[in-house]
Amino acid sequence: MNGYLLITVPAAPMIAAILILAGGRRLGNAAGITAVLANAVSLVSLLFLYGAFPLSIAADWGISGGYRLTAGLWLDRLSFFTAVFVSAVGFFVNLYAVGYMAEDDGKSRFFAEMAFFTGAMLTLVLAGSFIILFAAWEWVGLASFLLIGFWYRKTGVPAAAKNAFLITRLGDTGFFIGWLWVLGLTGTTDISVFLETVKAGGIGYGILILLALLFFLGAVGKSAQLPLSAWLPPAMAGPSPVSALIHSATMVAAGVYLLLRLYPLYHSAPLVRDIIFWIGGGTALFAALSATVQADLKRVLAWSTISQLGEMIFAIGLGAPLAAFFHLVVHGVFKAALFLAAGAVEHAAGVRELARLGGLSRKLPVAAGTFAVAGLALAGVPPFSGFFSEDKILADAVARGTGTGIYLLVIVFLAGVYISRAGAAAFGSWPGAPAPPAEKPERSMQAAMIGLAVFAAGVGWALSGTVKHLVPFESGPHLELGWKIAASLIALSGIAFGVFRVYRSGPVPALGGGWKVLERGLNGVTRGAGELFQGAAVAADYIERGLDAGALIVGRVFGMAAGAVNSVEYGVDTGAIAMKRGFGLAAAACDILDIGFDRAARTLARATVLAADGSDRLERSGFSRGGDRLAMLLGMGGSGLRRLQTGRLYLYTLGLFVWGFLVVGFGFIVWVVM
Amino acid sequence: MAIPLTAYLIVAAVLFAIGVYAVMAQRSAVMILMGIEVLLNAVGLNIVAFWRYVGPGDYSAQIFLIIIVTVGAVEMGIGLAIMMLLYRNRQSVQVDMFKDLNG
Repeated sequence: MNGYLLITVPAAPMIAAILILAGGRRLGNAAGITAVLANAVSLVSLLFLYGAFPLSIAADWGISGGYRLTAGLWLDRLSFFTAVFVSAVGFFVNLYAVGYMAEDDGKSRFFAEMAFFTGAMLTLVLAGSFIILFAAWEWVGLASFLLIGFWYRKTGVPAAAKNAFLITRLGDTGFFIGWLWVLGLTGTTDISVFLETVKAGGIGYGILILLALLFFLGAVGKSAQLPLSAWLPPAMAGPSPVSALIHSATMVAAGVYLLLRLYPLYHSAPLVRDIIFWIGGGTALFAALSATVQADLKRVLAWSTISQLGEMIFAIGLGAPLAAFFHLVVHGVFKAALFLAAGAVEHAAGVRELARLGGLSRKLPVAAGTFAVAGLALAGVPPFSGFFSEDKILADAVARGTGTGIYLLVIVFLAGVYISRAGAAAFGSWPGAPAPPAEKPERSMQAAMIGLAVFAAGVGWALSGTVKHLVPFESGPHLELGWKIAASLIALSGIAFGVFRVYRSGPVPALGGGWKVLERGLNGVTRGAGELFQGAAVAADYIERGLDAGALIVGRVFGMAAGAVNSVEYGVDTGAIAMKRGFGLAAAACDILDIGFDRAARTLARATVLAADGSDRLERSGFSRGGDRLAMLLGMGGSGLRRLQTGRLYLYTLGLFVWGFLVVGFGFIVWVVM
Repeated sequence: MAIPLTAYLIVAAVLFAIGVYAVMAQRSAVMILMGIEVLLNAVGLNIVAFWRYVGPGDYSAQIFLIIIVTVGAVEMGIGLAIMMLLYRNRQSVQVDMFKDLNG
């Protein structure tokens, strides 16, 4: 019974996707409602499964040689809570999208892809074997490609979708090699078998580090860490609900979730954790600085996502998976809320450049309230949710060293600056704000925003005490009150600074425009990573060219040998000429003899001509007429056969199958008779 | 509970029939390519079913299947490339449009 419930969780959105696709355009608004209901079904079946841990359904997909390929789902505390979070956010975002996409012609395609997206992510979260995990990983990539490119007729959109697909693919290569290697080591694709082997110390340290790095490469691509961050900001080209989903629960969360799922591997590889620490920390700071200069509301949020994901990766690098998990959930909720509010602004005002917004808080009170609550949560102001999760990360950072703690506080300050700048520029009535006209959003959009805002406000407080019982990670150290107060004050001052800058000088870059250079640099870095892969291919080419050059040298040696042979030949030639002269003399003697022969030959020739004349007469009268007739016959046959070449493919294939049928039938008869 | 061999063979036969129908009755070249793919997979299903039920110790069926899948992928790649070129020339992939070389 529980097994069926477990399958229902990822299957419900998948089936909904197929149904919506089959229904097509005539579904209208029912398409969106189907997607929302599918998410609700997933959520409810998950809630029925609460407490039934660990639950596993697995089957052998194939056994080949010594390798067992298993397919199955696995429910433990970590996957349960992540799945609840994914389907809850998916529910609200789909609900919102019902209103957001009401006017769009491609609704059914949109909701089929959205349902597929959440279904793929639920499969990824619940996967019990690497094959399923990898397949779902690629589905998520495919779905995000389709959804980012949803408005594919707009300029720049196909390029953004292609970018997202290909850059994450660089990371996927690492993940792919990683799990194939695991299959080679353990002989099975079962994830828990692999983790048990790691825990028991069954894998050598060197291989362990390489495996950890390969899986981390996959996470870097999906979670948009340096140097593969460049795909996420342009992915804003998709509709806002897509951004909300990509940035919170589905796409980018997959990378962090992979690290959490395989955490025992990272627990035993401290060296790799140090690399993760530096990459996460670097990404967090870099992206936060980039976020302060963006001129586009959704791009601010995109960079803030990269920064917050950097914080999670940073927490994993600190050896604090509990804090990373907590922040993953909390961030997913408030970031989805922020994107829904930003989407409402875009939907209502038709623009999203900060300089052309402003004064929207009266026209869109629900969106403004949602943005305020979620923004305060992001900045880490108590008692909103971000405060509790950042608290946990801060506790581990301080335990590593005071410098690390201060570094994190800088990021918290920057988060306050960029989010309050974006919020104040969009909703506040700063002097000179254009205050565009805006329509009221649909009811389903408002309901979804309010729902997520409530969660964004409360989820941190609700989980802060209990999260350590929910997931099987050790809880981190306790944070002193002084640090807590410092963090809150810094968050508040960041917010105050951001608001002050907007009201003073409009939505200019909050910390000077110089940080724009970072974003430009990033494209170079991502291109560099791509070129590294290309470089390997080019190196192979060079090796080939070296082999070619070797072949050329060998060719030259042969050429010289041929020259030597040539001179020998010349000598032989000279000898031959001398001999020829001798033979010439002999030939003159033979000439005289020849004349005698000539006469005899002439007589013979005359006799032959007479015989030939006779046969010619015979041929003219008999054979040639016969030949003409034969040719005519062949020509007629040919023009008859020409008609067989109709140029219609189906006649050819029909002929092929009939022929095949006759051959098989004939063979059968022969077999029976013999 | 165990699924008999006949069930696999029936599914494969149905797939094959669908493939034959698609190849012969469809006018769009893309659909014809899809039909060919279905035909290949019907054969693959047969091979694997026979391997599983008749000689599970012999892995040559798996190798055959992988070759079939590879050939299918290659054929798709070339086929779709040809489709693209045809489309660029005539703005259509209806195979009836392309019978200039008939007899």
